[in-house]
Amino acid sequence: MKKLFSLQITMLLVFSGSLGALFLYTNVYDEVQRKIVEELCLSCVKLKVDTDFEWRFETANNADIPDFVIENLSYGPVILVYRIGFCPGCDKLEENVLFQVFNFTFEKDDVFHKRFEFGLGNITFVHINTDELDYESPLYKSRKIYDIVGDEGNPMITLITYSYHSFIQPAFATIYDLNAETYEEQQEQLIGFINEATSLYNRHKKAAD
Amino acid sequence: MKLQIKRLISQIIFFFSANLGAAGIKTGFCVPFFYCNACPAASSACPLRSMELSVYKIFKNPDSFSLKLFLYPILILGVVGIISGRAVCGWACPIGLLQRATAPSARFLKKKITFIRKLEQHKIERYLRYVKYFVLIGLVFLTSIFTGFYFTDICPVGMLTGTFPIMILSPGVYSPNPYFYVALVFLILFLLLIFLIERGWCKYFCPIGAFLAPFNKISIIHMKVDKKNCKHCNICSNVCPMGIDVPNMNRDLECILCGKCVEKCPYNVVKYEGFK
Repeated sequence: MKKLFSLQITMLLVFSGSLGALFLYTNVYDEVQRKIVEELCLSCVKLKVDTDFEWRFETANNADIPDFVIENLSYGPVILVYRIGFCPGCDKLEENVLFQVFNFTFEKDDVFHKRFEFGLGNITFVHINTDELDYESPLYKSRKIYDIVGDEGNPMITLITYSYHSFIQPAFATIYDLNAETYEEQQEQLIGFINEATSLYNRHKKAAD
Repeated sequence: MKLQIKRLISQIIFFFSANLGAAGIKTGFCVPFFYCNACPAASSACPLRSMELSVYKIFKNPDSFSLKLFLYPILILGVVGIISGRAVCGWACPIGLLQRATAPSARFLKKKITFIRKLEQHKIERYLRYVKYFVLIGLVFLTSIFTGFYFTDICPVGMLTGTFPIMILSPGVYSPNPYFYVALVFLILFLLLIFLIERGWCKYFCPIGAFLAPFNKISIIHMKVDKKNCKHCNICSNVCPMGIDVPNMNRDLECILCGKCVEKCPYNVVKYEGFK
């Protein structure tokens, strides 16, 4: 009995002490809140978002278009690919569609941008793993600006170009994963979206210049 | 107040506290029971999601977060387990509450269907109880490391408390992905199970129950049977939702401390005990 009592007390002290230390000296609480509770992994809930590929002018939270997007728009349309670290749907999209369409590879945790020629013009590809970013980072904040459904679903792809709405201004379209059946069809679908963005860009931006 | 009424109140309180997200309260805690953080109303993280995410990250691309995340649910479940063993299954878990609601159907069907009665009495039944340990080790840990096939992809509780509420609250916004139908099959099996066998999920499949079960051997709060004064009337075993042989139990791994045996024992030989 005494042995059991000692074991109970020792284990309780070790476990509760370690848990207390984890709360006090690490940011695990904030990270769990941000990366698990508040973020929705769409593939984990076995769903995909049925949004149409539609050009919009008003951002999701009415915030201004981020500076980094405006900067890159001077070069050509911008494609933002959002994901979280643990997201099987994002992995599939990247490995089976993005790597093939863009002809380069990257790691899922990479946060980077790359400018290159694509189809009828130039584009800027931005890969954003929100798990790797600070809350205050402009890239992190841009997630809410373009999240038209507002559920923090991943993966999320946003294309930004110039179009006409009273005057020539940036327009964006957000989709959550691609809807086509096969990966080949998804690749074609994405190329079609980018070509549409490039053609709008060429028509409006160059005319405005 | 009767013990079972107190337990019901406790289960309802925990159900609402697990759903405080509906009031905008989203915390960074892990609940020590089974509840999906994808539920639109969920206020905290599912410990299994934290575990598989941490294991996946540790083996694919370790960082400081993955190690903290690995310890976090284990320490929370550990503290709860050392204090009260599997009592959370009986007193707090919303899926336990759901199974409490389906228990009358299971008891009725047990009387009517010979197969269920025979299955519950068959010697294979006690081996079936080990399945939950394989679910914990195999589906939560090993698949996250080796195959990339994750427990959350087929989790029936996630489907019930996450997927369907999301679809209902935002009609027309979401559509099923290929895993949906696989998970739907598991959900149907889960519902059949809990309607056919009382506490079927807890007995055979719940990975959190599997994690907490060993703590029953050392938990501070536990059930004690006064074997000297026990008349072996077996009323306690008949009412036990986990099908435990109560008069002969000694810190049984399956006991969820629901207290039905305490309440029904005519000789008051089954009791809750603390530091002993």
